[in-house]
Amino acid sequence: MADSYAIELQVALVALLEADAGIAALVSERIYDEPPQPVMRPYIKIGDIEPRPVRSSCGKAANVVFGIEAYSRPNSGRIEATRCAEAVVSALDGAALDVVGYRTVYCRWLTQTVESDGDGVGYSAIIVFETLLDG
Amino acid sequence: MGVKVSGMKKARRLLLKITPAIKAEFEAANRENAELIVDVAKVLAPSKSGFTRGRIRNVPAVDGGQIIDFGPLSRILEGGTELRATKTGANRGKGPARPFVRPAMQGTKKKRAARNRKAIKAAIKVAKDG
Repeated sequence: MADSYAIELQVALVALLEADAGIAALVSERIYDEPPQPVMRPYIKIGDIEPRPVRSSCGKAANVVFGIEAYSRPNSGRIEATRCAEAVVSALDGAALDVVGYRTVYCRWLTQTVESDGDGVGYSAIIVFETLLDG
Repeated sequence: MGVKVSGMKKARRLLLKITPAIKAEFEAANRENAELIVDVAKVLAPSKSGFTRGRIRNVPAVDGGQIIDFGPLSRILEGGTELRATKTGANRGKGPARPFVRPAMQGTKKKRAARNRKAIKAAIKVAKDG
């Protein structure tokens, strides 16, 4: 039996991001759920995942809004975080996510922000997507 | 230059035909739009502790609309702060801006407009047929 929408989606996201050559060129294998301390930058972190049930009479589905976060190196400025964000968008926008137990109807890029970190170490980008999982 | 009004009577007649079912459809579209904004804002909110995220929510208003509460820190995070200082005058710098409300509104604009158009089209169809 498949796990919940959020967990299965996270597994699929990590697999897809790790397999993407554009992302590997920027962050190597540093794609984390919870980054280790101390962490080497740049890296990508799976952000917030917000599943919401789709109310219909013909079965179960969930609309899931999720974020991918990218953290740049100190002094590399906004450019590196933006490049990571673009690589993530290129990998996930319109992608056929292989979510175990569910059918991905669509996966769309909604928006993104790139801002200086609160601690002043570098820049971080949050890229937001929406996906509809059927099943 | 004068203003010519056309189709007012017809539009008014259609509006009078708005049934509770059509109102419910509008309310559902409003609620789904508000939920989408809330979800995107939660993902974009920069707080690591979850304090901000946990307080972002939508509540129904009495007129069928939706009120979105972006939490007590939203104003500070959205625009940053002026220069801050301690009681003794030591400089603590500016609080950085980490906007998440405006990006959430902008990023969902097209989808919300499309949902509204769909609800309006359905309402006009029902009013015309009825």
